[in-house]
Amino acid sequence: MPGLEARRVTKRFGEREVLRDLSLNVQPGHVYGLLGSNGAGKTTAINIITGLLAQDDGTVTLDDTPVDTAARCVLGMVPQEVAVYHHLTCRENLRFFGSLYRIRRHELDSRVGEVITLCQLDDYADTAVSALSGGWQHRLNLAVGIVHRPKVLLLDEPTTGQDIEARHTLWRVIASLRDQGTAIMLTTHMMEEAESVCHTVGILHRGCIEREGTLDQLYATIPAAELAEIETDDEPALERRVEELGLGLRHYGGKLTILLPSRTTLSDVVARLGRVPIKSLALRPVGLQHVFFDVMQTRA
Amino acid sequence: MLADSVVVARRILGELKRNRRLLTFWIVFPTLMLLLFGWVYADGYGGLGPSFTATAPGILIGAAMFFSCLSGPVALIVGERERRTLRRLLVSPISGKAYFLGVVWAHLAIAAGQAALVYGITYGAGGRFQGSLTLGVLIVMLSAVAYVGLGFAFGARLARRTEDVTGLVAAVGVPLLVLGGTFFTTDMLPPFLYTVAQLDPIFHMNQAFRGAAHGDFVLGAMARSLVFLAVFAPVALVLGARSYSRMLERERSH
Repeated sequence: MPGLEARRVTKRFGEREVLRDLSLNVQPGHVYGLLGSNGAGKTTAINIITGLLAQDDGTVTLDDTPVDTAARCVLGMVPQEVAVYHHLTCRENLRFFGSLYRIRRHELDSRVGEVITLCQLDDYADTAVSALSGGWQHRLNLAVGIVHRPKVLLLDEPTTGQDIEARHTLWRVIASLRDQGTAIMLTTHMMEEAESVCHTVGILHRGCIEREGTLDQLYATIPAAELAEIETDDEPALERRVEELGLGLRHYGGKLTILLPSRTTLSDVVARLGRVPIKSLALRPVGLQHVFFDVMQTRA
Repeated sequence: MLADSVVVARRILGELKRNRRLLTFWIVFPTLMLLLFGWVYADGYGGLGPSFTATAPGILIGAAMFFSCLSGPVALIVGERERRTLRRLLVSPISGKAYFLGVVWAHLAIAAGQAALVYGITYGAGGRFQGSLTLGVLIVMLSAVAYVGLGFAFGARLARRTEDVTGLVAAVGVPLLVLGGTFFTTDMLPPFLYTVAQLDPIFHMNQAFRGAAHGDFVLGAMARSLVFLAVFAPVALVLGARSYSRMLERERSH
């Protein structure tokens, strides 16, 4: 199948297994989000997919071709750090990196113009990178990764450290590339990002994808229609009451969270908790962060 | 591969054009050294013209090209690592060989520019290039190739950060440059140092180019230096290429 496919990829550094039987599939026109805490194996996965690192077992194909020099022509990579030449202008950087993909000169000029417009770099196209602020440099970093119109695009934590406007610009560009049929995989720490742009999300924990699916499929793995985040001075009393009510209680990101089987109101929750002292209470819909914390808690 | 290497060379030269500080340094340094030593030795050589004729080869090969073609690739490799552009290049279709070749082309072009500058000033002061131009060009090219090879070897093995470059060049390079007779003829060296200097590649670059520039290449010592250089330049290039290749392997596994 075209796009990106990894099958049972395993990687060891000495005795330590950093990826175990990693399998994922990103079809053209789809966005796959790889979530994981630090050290989960995201960077190793990216390095293997780009061919920087050889796997010990398993296969990776890009557009139906094993990763080699030829396959790299269809691969675009946007690293987390701005990796461009600071003495050159934006246009010169784009021309240089585009030339490495053997694009003919007249076509290259038109593609450079397209990505400059797409990433809203028009006003700074002929400005040296060293004179640009961090946000504009990140836009160029993205533009460099897509100037050769890759069929498979990898983004490594693309919005880390960026302001809200830059983040939305990037999400808009990702949506545009997705609509053009690019297979996109991104790693991120930001749940909001994954929920905004990803069709499918895989949660990586200690080298394994522990949970994977569409957002709705992932939300459905939490046995609740709604969540009540609660702060109390008497946690044992809360635990007893929740058990009496036959409800689930979890620690999601350090917050005590009651799993509610149906949608309800704050007053109803307060009434059901009876004499448990409540410092604060909020109702939340199930989100990706809860799924993420659930995986971490289950596997801890 | 050739087309890719030309793209890399154009990028390096484009960056140099925009990096005014470095460009200015590479113009000012050989200019001042040539003017200074041409003036210092004027009485000894019987006038400015002969003094510039005698001084220009050492200033071009031993001073100007030393800093551009040796420390240039070291700084380039360190810069690619620090800016993370090296990893971006590694995931692109360009081969390591094409990149390496591109750096060689760029530094040959820089060496040609510095040769034009040094001999432009020399001619302005009444000095001349009196020997075989073809041989002179060949020696400049061999020297540039040798420097780039050494630059890759040092840069890939020893320099991890920008701060390392200055220390490395000062500690290893400058003594070799002085011992190689860049600023004076090696006749001034005591016998022991003259023997040690035979092991210094810069000594042979200077000797060979002086012979070619002065038209007295027929002398045995000059011919020996050319043979040394003809052997040393490809060896340095292979050494640099291997060091670079090992560095890429290390970079891939990080």
